[in-house]
Amino acid sequence: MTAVTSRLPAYLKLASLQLQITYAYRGEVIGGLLVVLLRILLLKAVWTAAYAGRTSVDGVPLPDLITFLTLGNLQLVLMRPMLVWYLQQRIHEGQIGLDLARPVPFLGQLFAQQVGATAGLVPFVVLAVPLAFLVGNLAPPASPVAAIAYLASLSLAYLISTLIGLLMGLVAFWTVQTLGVGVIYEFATQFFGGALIPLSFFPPALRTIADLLPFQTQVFIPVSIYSGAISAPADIAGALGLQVIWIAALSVIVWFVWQHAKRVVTVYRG
Amino acid sequence: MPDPIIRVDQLVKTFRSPRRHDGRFGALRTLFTRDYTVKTAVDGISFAVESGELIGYVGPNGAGKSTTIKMLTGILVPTSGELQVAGLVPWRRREENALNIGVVFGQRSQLWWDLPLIESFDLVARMYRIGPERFRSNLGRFRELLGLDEFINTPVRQLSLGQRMRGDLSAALLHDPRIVYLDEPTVGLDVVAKERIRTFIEEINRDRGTTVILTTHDLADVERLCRRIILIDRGRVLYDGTVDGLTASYAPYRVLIVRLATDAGAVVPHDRPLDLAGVEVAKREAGAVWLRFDPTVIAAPALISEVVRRYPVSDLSIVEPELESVIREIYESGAVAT
Repeated sequence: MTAVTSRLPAYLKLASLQLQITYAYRGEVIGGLLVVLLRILLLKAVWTAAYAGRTSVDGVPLPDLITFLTLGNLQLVLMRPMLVWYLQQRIHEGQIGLDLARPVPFLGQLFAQQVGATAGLVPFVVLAVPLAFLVGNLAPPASPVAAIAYLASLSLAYLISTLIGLLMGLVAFWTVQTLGVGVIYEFATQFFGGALIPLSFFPPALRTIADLLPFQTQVFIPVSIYSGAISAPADIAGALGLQVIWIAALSVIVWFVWQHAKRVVTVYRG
Repeated sequence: MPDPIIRVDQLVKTFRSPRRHDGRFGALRTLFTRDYTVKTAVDGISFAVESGELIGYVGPNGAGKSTTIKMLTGILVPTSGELQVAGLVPWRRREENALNIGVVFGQRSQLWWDLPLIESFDLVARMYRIGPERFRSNLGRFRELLGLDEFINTPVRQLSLGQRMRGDLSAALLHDPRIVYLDEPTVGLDVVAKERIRTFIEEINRDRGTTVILTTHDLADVERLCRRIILIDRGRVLYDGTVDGLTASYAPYRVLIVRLATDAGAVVPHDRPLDLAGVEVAKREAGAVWLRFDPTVIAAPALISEVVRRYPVSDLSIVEPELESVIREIYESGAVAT
């Protein structure tokens, strides 16, 4: 524990520098948000047409569905796996050598930077909420308990995203390129997370696959808690528990991969 | 004699990369291949460095200099051999080792590109847990020695190469490391900027007793700063000793430049060869000739008096061998000190 507290100033500084960088590139952030808002708009149009005038399909009312998709896509902005492209860039340019010559654990440095980058995004996402309400739909949380449980679940979802981002970024120690992996990941989180089609509409076989993958814990679980689709205390506890299990499993995997990556480090460009 | 601060023993580093396949599905076959090419970057290097030394670590491109430095910093894990830096095995105790060392890679920067220079220093202070008092006094010293004040609040991307290098050197030394590895710190700099960097390196070595390992292609850096040079090529040590000793053992020749009083109607030497043992004509130009001689065979005064006796001479000068030409000769001949 003392190891962490003595390094806390370094981690905070790293996070704050990354936050400043996010702000320096705010044009990109705003552009990214506009794309997300456009996606919400298109999803709303498509799903409204698909409902074809029915108020509810499989017990899911259209406004609830749109709220689900709006919130799901908006929170995905905060979970953008910055570490995937960051690591590949550092390795590609040989900067990784400097990061590794620091007296601070490398994974800690990366985690701090991810948190800083996300903190820089929060104000933009908050500002985008009224717009998201206009292009999509946003209902308040189902209950005060749902609101609190949602925040807890969102935090856990954030940890899961960061760990997956880290894992994919570490692949660059072997392959150098990870952009392809990043693209597949973004698609997988959107699709299997339920940000395009709610998992309740999946055919059984696909639903089973989605349930076995970690992506549903990033979108489907927190948003279902928000909307009240998961509302019984035991169900909420179960959902949060599943997220915690994924965090534990992914942490172990990341740790093992990193132990191995350390030994295959190649520093490019002389 | 105290224990050396750096001890490198039979160090080897090989890189394994999959053999590329061409043709249809080439990329896919490359991905699943078990066929590797092995490249040995460092091939059994040994040396020891005493605390407070300033050493030139020199070699042509691809000789294994940077790979050695990266193993000393703990970034790369050696394939075999042993190394110890200030009592630690760098790759096993990378973070502890980092507190003892400073690193500058001339080809890249540890500074945060988009942010004012001072932000990078502030990060270094927190990473290396530098107390506010020490941070202030060290930064004050570097501000003065390197003239940081004019750009300390400028975003790094707007700095000139020379300013950036001054920033990088400061960042690497703020925590008073016992050892500093400088990998090409003067690359791409103009003469004024180079001199400023050299003076700074000299001062931290002299005033702080910081051990400096300097990797460079500019042998003027070595001539100006280092007493000892380790010369490597193809991953092996060719020479380890004093700079003077290197020129003495590898370049025993001196050159006597003779300018002739040609307008006095004199005869030029190639009509009358200078048949003296240990002397040969290295180069000829109108009115001048370069005589290369071995001072152990014929002493300079003897040669000069012979030349003056035979030819009408207007001017004479003796050229000492330059480190650069010495090293060029060693690389070209592939001579290995055994």
